[in-house]
Amino acid sequence: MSSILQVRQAVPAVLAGSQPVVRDDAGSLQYLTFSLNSEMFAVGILNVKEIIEYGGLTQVPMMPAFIRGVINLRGAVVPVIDLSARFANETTRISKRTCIVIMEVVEGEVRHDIGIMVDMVSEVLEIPAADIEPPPSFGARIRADFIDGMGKVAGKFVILLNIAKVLSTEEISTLAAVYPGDARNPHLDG
Amino acid sequence: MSKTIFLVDDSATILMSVSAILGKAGYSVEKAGSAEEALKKLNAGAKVDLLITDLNMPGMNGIELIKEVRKLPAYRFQPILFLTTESQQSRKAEAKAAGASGWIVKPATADDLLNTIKLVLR
Amino acid sequence: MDELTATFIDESRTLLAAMEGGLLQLEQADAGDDNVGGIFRAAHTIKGGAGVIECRFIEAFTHIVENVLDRVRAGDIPVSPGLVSVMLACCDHIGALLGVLVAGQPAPPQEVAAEGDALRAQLGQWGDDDGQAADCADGSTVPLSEAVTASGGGVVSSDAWHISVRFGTDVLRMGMDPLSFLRYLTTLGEIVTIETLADAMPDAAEMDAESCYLGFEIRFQTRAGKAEIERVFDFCRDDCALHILPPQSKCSDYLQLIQELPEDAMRLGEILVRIGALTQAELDAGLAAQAQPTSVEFDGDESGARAPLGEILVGQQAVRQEVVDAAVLKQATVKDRKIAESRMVRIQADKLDQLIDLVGELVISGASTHLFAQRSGLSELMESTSVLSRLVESIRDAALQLRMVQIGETFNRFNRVVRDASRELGKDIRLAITGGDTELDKSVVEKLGDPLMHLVRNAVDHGIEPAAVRAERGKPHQGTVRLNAYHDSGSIVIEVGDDGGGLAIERIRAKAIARGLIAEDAVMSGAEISNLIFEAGFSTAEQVTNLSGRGVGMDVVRRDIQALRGTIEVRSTEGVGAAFCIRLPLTLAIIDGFLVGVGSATYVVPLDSVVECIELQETTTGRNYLNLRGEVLPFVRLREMFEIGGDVPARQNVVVVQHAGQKAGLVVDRLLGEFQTVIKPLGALFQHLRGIGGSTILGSGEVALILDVPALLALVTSAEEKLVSPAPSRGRPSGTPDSQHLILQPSE
Repeated sequence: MSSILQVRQAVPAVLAGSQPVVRDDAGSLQYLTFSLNSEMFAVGILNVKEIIEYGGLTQVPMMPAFIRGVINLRGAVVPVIDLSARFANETTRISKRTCIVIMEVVEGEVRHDIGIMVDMVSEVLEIPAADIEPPPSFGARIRADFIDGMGKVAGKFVILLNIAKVLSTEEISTLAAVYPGDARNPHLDG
Repeated sequence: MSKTIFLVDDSATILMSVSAILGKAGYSVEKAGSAEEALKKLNAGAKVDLLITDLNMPGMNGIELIKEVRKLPAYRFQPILFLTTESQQSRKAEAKAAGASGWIVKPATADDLLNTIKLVLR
Repeated sequence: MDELTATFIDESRTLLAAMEGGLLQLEQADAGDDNVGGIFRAAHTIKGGAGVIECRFIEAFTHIVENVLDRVRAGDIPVSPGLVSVMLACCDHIGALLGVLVAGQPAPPQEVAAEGDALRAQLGQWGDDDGQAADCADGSTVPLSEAVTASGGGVVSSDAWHISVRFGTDVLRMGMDPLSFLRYLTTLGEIVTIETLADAMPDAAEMDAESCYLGFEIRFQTRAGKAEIERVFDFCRDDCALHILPPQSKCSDYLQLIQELPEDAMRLGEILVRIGALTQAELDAGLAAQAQPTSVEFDGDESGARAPLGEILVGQQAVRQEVVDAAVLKQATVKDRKIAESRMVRIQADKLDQLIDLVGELVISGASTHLFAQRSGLSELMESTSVLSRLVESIRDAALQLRMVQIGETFNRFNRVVRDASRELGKDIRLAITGGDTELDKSVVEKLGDPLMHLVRNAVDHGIEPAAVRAERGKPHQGTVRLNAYHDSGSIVIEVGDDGGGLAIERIRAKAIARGLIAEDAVMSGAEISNLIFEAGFSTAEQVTNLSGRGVGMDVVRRDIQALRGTIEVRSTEGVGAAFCIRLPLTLAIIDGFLVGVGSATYVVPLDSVVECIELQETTTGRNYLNLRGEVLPFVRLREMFEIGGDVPARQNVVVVQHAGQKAGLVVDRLLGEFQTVIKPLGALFQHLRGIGGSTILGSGEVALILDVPALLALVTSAEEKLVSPAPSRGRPSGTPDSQHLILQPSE
């Protein structure tokens, strides 16, 4: 499991917390784009710590399917979220190009590293603020509050994800607690 | 070679402040937080040119420490200073009787401290 | 904040806690000298430290406190409840002043200052007006200088000081070198002439090489005053004969000196002339004048009056010494020594945490090296890595031990809580602490404060009945709250108990039904009902007091304990009392684990909870208990529980685990042996996950999950209960839905 792209080592918490994206003088924002089920998504580059090959995953039992498991990231145990399962209940199929994007999520004063599984990482893009449309009220097939906006790139729309919402530990851990298999009472019958 | 001063005090604040002063003045400083620890180090053969101890410590007190140190052949003639306060004058005689060379009255200025050390160090 | 101030604050907080503990003890028991001494010493050290860091407001206030305590120690002030209360308030105030220092404020804000003034006024009743008297005991310089000025006669012509010193024979044994004094003297001025007197030297046969027999007559030129010159000889003044005559002293002063010195008068006279202190004429005139009887009588009187004074001083010191020695003996209890030892080295907690983290990484990479060595098949390499493994294990244990602290300090904090709370409620409650020397990881202790506070307050507030009720029930007037700790198979157990009314089972049941926690017809044991109080949203407090009924329920306590990988349960007998029992792991960092494999997954079972491993004898399928030497052992199949795919191997193994007296089996595919397990928390995403206690990193770099045996056992136990006594309708908390599939086949 080698690091494909070391985006950056660390970002001051203040910066990462208050400013999800880098904005240069022209008002452009930097994003990492990736594909998931043939759709293009993007996340603010400041939330991205690194990108690694998929592998070495340990499943955590009694958790919802969108929590794929945990990996060893240089000694730290980092959970990995299957975005496709989170958005649409379709488990991501592993391919050669499947990657884990390690994101840094700031909640209050706590910083977590969470990995997201993506089909393929595309590139780092600058999207001018003028090219970003507000999220559609419906029709995007994923929850509206997961979307920060729609970026126009080469005539196509890219869904800019609101990582704080998508990877909200509070929401995810609550979902895990009410996991239909019920973690508290697993099947014991043989 | 710089002289080594062995400080014994149960107050971490005193240990830290005094050793800072001594260190700045070019002395090597050895520290112990209790008389028992000090004895252990001295028994292990710590090289000490001057011992400075507090009198009032939990467990073994400074006076007992001085008595014990004077029993150690290597430290029989080494100078020993003790830390005392204005209100504890009566203990000076006791400490002297135990074999102390002299004392430093707390609160002491850095100059007081260094002057007294200069007096007793060979 | 600089390091020194941080040290002072940290140290002072520790001392304040000790002081408070001592005061509370003082209130309860007799005024033991050792205890008062300890309280005084705490105040004394805080004051001293405040002086060092130049925090005047703390120094000034603590000084007043110290003075009063000194008088208590001396027996001048009797210990009274009033005194203890004021002293406790003073502790609080010093704590507040420390807070001011922490906040970086230059002076206490108005309300804090006002509080200080009020306390000063209260302390005034034990005023320290005669506190100065003792300070003058050392004023032996006073009579000496008086003697100089009191004498009459003509002024000598010399313009230098004259110092006459005869060292005591023990000066070397005091660690002092006579030359040191002379050398130091030169820092004040110039030695004009010096004459060494070895008259006291005995014959060689009688001479003791360790004794000093020397004296000096010195002419000394300096701008310094007499006090400064005297200070040079401060350390030997009690043992040596020291005389200092200022320039232009009267001739009679020299004559008096000659008289007082041990050597022959004529010889001394010669010496004084030789070194230039006196002229021959002055000497002669003086000797003639000395013949006058009045003068001699006067001198004799004075020295005669002085000697007894010295004796009185010594006498006083002797008395003090006995008092002090007795106190010191009592202080030398084991407990005090432990405190002394625990103070030996102070390390910043984060440095220690860093060390533990590094040791954790060392363990992980050690495991990985060991794995590679085994794969290599090189026996020498394998041997050397196993030596390394043992060393790493020792380092791990030693490092973890560094972070172990006694729980006593945490317990002792509750003395004050119980005292204040019981007064507020008008109850008479005693706190009984046992097992205070039980050790556990510092990081665990830190997180125990809140839950313990809640339980103790709960016991005081709701547990112990009002005096009238206690009398009615024939209970002693004084209620008891107990704090106890002990080690039990790799866990630490902490009990918070009281001899109060116990839990009102029917009331809890009614409330649980009202809240929809259980069904109305639920059949539950008293213990099961009692433990319903830990369910979310459950609170038995009928009235909200300002103590514990602040809407924070036992569910929060349980959550805090679970966050520490611990469990909590309550045992209660109505009318007799209740006891909360908390079980915690000893450490949160590294444990000995036992590796098991299921399918392609690897899990760690904490070794402390493993009893034995046996092979699973499959006779009938679907049977989830086995016969362990005549004992019914329920088990869970991890493969099914964790929904792990793959083929079930022909042979499976059972790891028999135990927790809090309950046993169960975990069915696994493979037993992989012991493993030093560095616990890596799974993080917030998994906070609601039960049955998995954390994770670790294996030698291969793979992440393995650590099983939470108590949580797994809770599941198995409920299965076992059904097995032993199949009841038609079992009540269980909602949220843990009734699971029909738990019903097992009847025993054969």
